[in-house]
Amino acid sequence: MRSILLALLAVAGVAAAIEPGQPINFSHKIHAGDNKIQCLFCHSGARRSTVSGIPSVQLCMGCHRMAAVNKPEIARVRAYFEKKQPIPWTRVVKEPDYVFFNHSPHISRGVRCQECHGPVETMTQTRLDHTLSMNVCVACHRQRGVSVDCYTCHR
Amino acid sequence: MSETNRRDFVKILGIGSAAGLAGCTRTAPDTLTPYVVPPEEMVRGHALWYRATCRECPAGCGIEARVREGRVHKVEGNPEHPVNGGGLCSRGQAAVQGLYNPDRLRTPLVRGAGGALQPASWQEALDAASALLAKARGRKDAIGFMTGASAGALDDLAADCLKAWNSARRIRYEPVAYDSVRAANALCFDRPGLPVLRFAEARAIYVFGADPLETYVSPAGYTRGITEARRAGARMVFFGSRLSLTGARADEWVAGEPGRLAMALVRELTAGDARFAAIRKWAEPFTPERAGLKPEVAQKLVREIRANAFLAVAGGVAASDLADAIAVNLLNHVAGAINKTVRFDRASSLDTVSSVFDASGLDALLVVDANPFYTAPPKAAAGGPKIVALSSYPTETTAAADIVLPIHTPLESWGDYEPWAGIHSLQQPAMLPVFETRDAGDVLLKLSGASGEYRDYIRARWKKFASADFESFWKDALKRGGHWEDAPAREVRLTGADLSAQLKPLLENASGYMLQTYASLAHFDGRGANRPWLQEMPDPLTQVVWDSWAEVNPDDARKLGVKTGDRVRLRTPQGQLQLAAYVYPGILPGTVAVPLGQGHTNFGRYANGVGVNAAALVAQAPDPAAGGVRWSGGRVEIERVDANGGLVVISGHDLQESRGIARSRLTGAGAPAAAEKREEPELSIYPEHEHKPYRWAMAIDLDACTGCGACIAACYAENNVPVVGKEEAARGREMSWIRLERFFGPGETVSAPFQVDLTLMLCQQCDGAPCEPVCPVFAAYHTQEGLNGQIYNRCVGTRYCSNNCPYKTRRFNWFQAEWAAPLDWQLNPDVTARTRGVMEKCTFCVQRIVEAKDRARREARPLADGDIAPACAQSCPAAAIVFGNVNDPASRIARLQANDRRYRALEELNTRPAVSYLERERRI
Amino acid sequence: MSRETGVDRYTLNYSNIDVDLVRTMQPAGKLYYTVLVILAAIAGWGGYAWSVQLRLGLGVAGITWPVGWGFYITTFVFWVGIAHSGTLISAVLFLFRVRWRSPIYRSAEAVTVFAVMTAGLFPLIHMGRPWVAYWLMPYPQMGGLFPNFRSPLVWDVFAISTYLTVSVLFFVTGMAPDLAIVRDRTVGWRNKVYGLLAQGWQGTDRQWKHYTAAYVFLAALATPLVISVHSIVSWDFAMSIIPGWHTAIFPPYFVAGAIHSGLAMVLLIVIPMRRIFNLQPYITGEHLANMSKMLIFTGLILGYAYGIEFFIAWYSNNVYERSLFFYRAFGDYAWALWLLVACNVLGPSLFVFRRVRHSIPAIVAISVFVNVGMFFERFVIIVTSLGHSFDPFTWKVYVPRWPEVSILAGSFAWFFLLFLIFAKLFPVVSMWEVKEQLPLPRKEDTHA
Repeated sequence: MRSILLALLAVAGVAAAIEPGQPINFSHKIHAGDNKIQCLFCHSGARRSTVSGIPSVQLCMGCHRMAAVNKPEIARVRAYFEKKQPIPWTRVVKEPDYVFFNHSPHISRGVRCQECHGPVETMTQTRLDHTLSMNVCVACHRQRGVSVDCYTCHR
Repeated sequence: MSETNRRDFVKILGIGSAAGLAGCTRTAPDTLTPYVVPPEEMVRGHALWYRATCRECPAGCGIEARVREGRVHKVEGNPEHPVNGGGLCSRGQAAVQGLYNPDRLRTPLVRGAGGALQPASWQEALDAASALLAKARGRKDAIGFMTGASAGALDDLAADCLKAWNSARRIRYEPVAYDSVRAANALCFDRPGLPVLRFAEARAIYVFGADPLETYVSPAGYTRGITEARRAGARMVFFGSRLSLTGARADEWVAGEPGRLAMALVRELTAGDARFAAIRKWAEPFTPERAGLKPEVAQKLVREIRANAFLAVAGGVAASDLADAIAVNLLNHVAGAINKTVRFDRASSLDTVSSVFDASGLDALLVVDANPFYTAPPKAAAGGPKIVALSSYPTETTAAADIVLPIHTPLESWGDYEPWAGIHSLQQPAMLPVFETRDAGDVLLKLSGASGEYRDYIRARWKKFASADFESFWKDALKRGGHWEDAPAREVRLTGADLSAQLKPLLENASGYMLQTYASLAHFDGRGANRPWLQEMPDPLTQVVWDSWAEVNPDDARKLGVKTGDRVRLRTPQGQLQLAAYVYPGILPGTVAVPLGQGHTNFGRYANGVGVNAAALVAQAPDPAAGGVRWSGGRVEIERVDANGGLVVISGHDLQESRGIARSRLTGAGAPAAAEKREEPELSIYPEHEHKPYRWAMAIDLDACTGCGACIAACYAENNVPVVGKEEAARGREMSWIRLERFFGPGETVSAPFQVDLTLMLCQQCDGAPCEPVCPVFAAYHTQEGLNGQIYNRCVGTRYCSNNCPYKTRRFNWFQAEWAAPLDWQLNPDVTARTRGVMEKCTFCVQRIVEAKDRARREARPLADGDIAPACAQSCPAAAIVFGNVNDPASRIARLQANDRRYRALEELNTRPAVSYLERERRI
Repeated sequence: MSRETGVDRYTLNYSNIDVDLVRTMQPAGKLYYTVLVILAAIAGWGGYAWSVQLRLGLGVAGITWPVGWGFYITTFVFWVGIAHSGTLISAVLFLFRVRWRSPIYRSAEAVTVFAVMTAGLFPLIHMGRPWVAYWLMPYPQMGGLFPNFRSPLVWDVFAISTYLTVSVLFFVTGMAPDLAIVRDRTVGWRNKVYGLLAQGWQGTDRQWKHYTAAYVFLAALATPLVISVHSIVSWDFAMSIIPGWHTAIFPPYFVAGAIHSGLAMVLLIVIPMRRIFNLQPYITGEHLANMSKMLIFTGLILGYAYGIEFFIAWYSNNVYERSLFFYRAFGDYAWALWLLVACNVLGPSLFVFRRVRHSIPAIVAISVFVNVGMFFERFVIIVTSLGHSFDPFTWKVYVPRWPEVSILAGSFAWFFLLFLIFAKLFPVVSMWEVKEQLPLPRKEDTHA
């Protein structure tokens, strides 16, 4: 009995690390999956910049001024916007400081977001699909015949 | 636990540790903070550039501030600005360390009943200031308004304020005010102001004691002009008793008293010329022998003056006598330079400043962004006006003030500054204020009882420049960096007044030691001393860091028993100082030189207690010989104290020992033929590296390089290079990726007894790099584009790479670098901040290369020559550093490879550096 | 006393060898524990200095730009060098059937093992980020990176670990028969431990047959290491390009120097040990004299190497080489150079005189000088070349600071501490090999 409890705790701990809790129960499945909203609509930076960016509260309100207005989560988004407070999202994907990943060349060369971020459009809770360690990057770079020069990512 | 048997225990242990370990591979969650309403023009990850004006000295160069996500990270020169045209000196680069200085004033201070300055709220402080001004303005001229050089909106605002305060006491104080030059111009040409010097048009440039390549009036702009002139074949000769950096860059050093030498040349030039009979009479006593000028040298110089477009410049702090300036004016006149290369078309912002100020009879004095008590501490213990100081930093003046109001630094403020009449240079905030400070203009408007913001005040002032739609004009002006008006030509003529009396002091021979104080390259008049980069950058000639020094001639040093590093005492009627001595072959016997700018008592952690304040030796009173403060020329006594000077000199050995690292050659008529260059074949037993499509290379023109160190400061700013401080610098642990190597040498010509060779040493990005095969973990490797890569996260810190580097350009992180908040806001987000235990070095600003390639890809165009400029190349006011793709035959760098002045350092080691140097030319 | 083997045939026999040499492992007296505590304290202080360095950074030491290697690498090379003599005596002299090696070889091999263990610490101590030192090992890394096999430092990793492995194997194997003797004379847990270490030795003929074959095999494995390991360590310098390092003479020069310093250290260990344990019948004056004679030989090689380096620097007419060697002889560290020449060449050459090589105080003094000289030899090589290389602007003088001095002292204390512990737990003279030098026992002799 005791060991089962401990095991459950452990699993919960690991789960929390991989799939952290968010201030708003945002579901990619509803937005990107059911409603087929393009990734770049919210994460517009990915096309032209190193960071893909998190959509501003104003962008959320752009639709949710009218869409699903009465849902409790939407009310919380609205509260953030009215109080002029940013939503403190918990980060899911983080590379170490010495990795300088640039979204822009990947997007512009047709790498699908799902290749690294996994099937995000099926996720009700955003989670890290697989650890993006160096061998994942290098394997894909080798496969596509792109630069594996160290300076490409490490400066 | 009694129920748990061994099996369960193992199970728990296993799951627990697995969970713990699994948790270990994930990093702890961060918070991602989006915008609520994003600013329209900003793309995260891309920088925005705001144009403004540098206010680190009165030159007023135009700058662009690089802003990432609302923080300024770097400042660069504005290529469209008429003053500097894209280059920016080291002090300009260090402006960000003023913005993020950890010792900045954060709250207003009011002197309480107990006599100490107490923090107060803005409301309280403004109320106190208003009350003070209200009381004082009952009497006429009881309120003084002091600034530095401030032509532009601030001048107008000051006038408005004074009017509101029933006063006309406007004080413009600059310790370095070039009073003698202006007084000389008043006497000679009836124009009491600084001339506009068109260096680029001159082909014979004679510098009499001034330092146009260092601090004189507009150094970045003058560097640009002088470099342009030299590229077109001009020759520069330096006259003076101390070889400054400017003198070291001249083709010839004629040692002696500058004024006397000028008059000797005037005498030769006016011989037998009826037009200049009167001048000839004044010049009669100045024979070449009297001036210490060899007759053949005099003849050669006279021939040169007659044959070339000529420009002579005088004064500066190091030769601050009126007589010197008059002599040079006469030289310019007889050489035909007046109204040609020496013009008076525009007034300078320095025309109305003075190096002395009179605060007598004032009840209140407003000091805005000036620090008079550093150079001129108040003599009276009590009494004197109540002082309201508006300052960004604690200073000697704020320490004596009654009310201190913390203001924005220039990068956070609105403003306009007119360095030269008609050149209206705009200042705009590049980011929100770092602290709870206010714009000085806003505060002044409030105190003067006016309404509105300073921004609107400036806009209203600028309405007169717009011909049609003001808003679009204003936007254009902000984008350009200002508004430039043409200046109508204004000719001057010699007044004909008898100047023989003013010239008489040149004939006097003084005994004992003469003191020269000079504005230092790093700190100018002291305002740069709280920027750690400027303290850590070695002085180019002495290579001293974090200190002051007294330069002494080697013969004098022998007589006094003084060695470099000994402590000496300097005594003048004004005061005495103890500081370290530096034995310098480039100073004449009988002269002692001390740089200004150190010895602060209340200027923050990086300045307090560092060095000594040379102003203590100089009378801060108008000297008839100078027209203002006589910074140089006074008598001084010097004696040795002991061996504990505590001097830290970065250079190891002062001579090149025939290694050809900083090369120069004599050119011109009479120069020996250049040595035959043997092209050694590049042999290797290894297959050659393929560099496709780009191969980056750099060329450094040692003829253009002035040694100003702008590149060094720019590199610190761009690449998150830490500052280590004096103690660690003494151990050789400074982290600079690019350094100026200075070598002394015997002169190669008869008239130049001593020469200084400079070169820039940075990672040579060798094709056959010795550091690459010895790194055990491939942290040092060769990239496909010709760079020598250093991957910080792979480095284990064995330091073999540095040991094997013949150029010793690799720097190791001996400690964990720390940046006192908010200096860490300045760190470039595109460059890793290195941990301790790893090696770092110049990367040719690979982050800029990557960014440029990225931009070119997004804009669907190939990279063009000039798209990429590493920070050093970008900042150089002389454009001495050229960078580009050597695979492109049309690029500048490719064409420079064939230049006959080109060489590579330590080539014979077969390192095949990607950095080439162009030999310096000494034109005789 | 037999001149050939140095072993006294007439007073030694099988049983009193056992008694004498197991007696060294009796419980120790106050002196032993006092020395142990002092050594542990010094070693502990060295460890503390290292901990400060790990916490604050390498900046607490005196190494700097451009002298990135100082005391730590000097000490590293010094200890690796010390190790070589042990292997020379145990393996090389074995293969050449030099009989007089028998009584000293065990201690010499212990010197080797402990010196390599001490040396192995220094790559970790001198590294900027020792917590990732494992990156120098080849393993399947996620980025697909292997260590750079072109780097001499990686060769060091293989050389030192090979040397340590082979030396330990040789050491433990060589001790098996002796440990069996000890096992048979002890009871309780000691009996079990020594039994484990004796690896089931019974002394049967079959075992002896296999054993001697294994011994020869290990000796043959260890022999090339004497040449190769220090050659590889010398390539840390010779493979670089800086003047004073980039020279082909380094491998033989370093190997000779290693044997030189190792012999001196073995002498310094063996002489007090023989006095304290009363092992004079085993380690006689002849043994010490023989080692001293070897010191003459290695000292002469070093003398040649010093001389030829200076000659070639002058003869080459290369401005960098000439300048560096001039600096070595007359610059900031000239005192160190002349000291090391005197200690390494002149000192041991005194062993030419029979009186000197049979005088224990003389041998001790000259051995100390040799160790000092060998330390400074590496020091001068490293620090002068780094501090006086191609660009005069970069010339600087290296000054060691307290962590480096503490860790140097700590390393000596650590080494002697290890030997001290070894001396009380294991037989310091190889019983079975000494017995081999004796004539076979006859029934009449077995009553002592």
